[in-house]
Amino acid sequence: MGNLTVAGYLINKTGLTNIKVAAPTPYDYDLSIGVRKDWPELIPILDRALLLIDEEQRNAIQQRWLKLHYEVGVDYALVKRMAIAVVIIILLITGWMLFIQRKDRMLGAAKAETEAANIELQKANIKLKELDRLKSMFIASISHELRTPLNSIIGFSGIMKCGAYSELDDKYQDYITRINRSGLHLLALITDIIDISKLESGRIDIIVSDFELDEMVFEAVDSIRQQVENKGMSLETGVSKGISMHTDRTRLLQCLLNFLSNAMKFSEHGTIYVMAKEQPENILLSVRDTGIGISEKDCLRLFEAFERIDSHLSVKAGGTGLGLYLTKKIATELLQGEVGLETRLGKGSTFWISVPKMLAARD
Amino acid sequence: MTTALVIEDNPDNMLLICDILEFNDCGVLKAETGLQGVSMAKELVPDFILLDIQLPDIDGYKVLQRIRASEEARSIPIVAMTSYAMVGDREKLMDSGCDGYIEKPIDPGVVMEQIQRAIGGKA
Repeated sequence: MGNLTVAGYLINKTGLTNIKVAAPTPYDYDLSIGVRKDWPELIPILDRALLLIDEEQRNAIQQRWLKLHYEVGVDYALVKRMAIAVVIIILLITGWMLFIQRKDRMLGAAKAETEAANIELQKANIKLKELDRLKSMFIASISHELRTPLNSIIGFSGIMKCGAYSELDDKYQDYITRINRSGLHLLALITDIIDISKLESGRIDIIVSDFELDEMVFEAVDSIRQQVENKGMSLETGVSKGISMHTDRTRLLQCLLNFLSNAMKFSEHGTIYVMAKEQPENILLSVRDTGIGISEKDCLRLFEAFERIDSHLSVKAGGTGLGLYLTKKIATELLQGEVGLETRLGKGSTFWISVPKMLAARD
Repeated sequence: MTTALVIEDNPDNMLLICDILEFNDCGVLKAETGLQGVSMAKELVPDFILLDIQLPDIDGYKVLQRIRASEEARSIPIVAMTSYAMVGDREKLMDSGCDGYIEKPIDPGVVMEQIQRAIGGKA
């Protein structure tokens, strides 16, 4: 029997109630019989005797000698403090986990929303591309459909007008000329309208090239020179050599031709001046005529579609009424420039267009 | 006398072109579909070809391709006729192997000029 039982016995015997065995100690007990050192032969004999003591007897011995209860005494103060600490930690951890969970859920919801929005966008994009393609096809097929019968009208009347196969009766010659002219007018209208619809739907291709401004101006002037001289008027140009341009030549030419054509149609005499002025970033092209001029109230509407001045010259002039509208659109939307007009009623008009020499690249 | 092959599906346009050509002393061969045009080009080897780009059976560009791909007809001058007149078209046609380009509605003066130029270019 070990120290524990001795201690217990002593405590009981001496009545030390203020001592308690309060914790498990590493001392275990075992039944054993102490033997004098000089009688070692007794050990195996006594050991066998011990083994013969059965369970019940062991318990009895135990009861008699181990009259001590020990309990694991609890240091309540420490326990309380630890319990509180643990509870607090648990609360903190739980709180933290709940917080994380909420964040996760919010993130998940946001992600799902983004995903859904993305899918919607993709669908819308596909639809837009399809609409775009249909629009292109529409414009192309309208153009084709309208031009096909015109091909016959203009073509056949053109050949007849030339008297290719036989001379025509004067009356019929007149008729055929009118048919031919109407056909050409219709063609011009269709071309302008298609141009405008292309511009409106943003599908005009801009073809940028490098060219000399004076060459372009001379080309425009040459194309209209005959008609001008037939009317008894003259043309003068003031364009310096060596002005290099980097922009859409065809479109700029189109605008200039429009101004020239108007100048010629709405003048009956005098000279048409074509001037180009070079500025640091831009060039200013102007066409001045000594024609009928334009009243203030007409000025405002002039660049609108189908607007024409009320004048005896308008009827003779022909044209589509779309020229200035288209010119303005081309100048402002394609060529990144401006158009304008200065005029005095009865004195003449100056139409001008100002565009950058270098067309800035678009995205 | 020069002989032209005209590949055009619209009868009015065909008549117009042929009359202009005959007036200018050209012999005329007529094909009303793209496929017909390709085989006639290969068999009859005209001096030049006028090709309508908007054909009903196969795309005018395909006709161009096949004629250019054939041994017999590869080097015949081809002038395209089109009414699309979209800015990119001219470049696209020239890149695909055309030697000239006529916009519809046709201007008789332009027709002969383009043809002369195309033939001249190839000569």
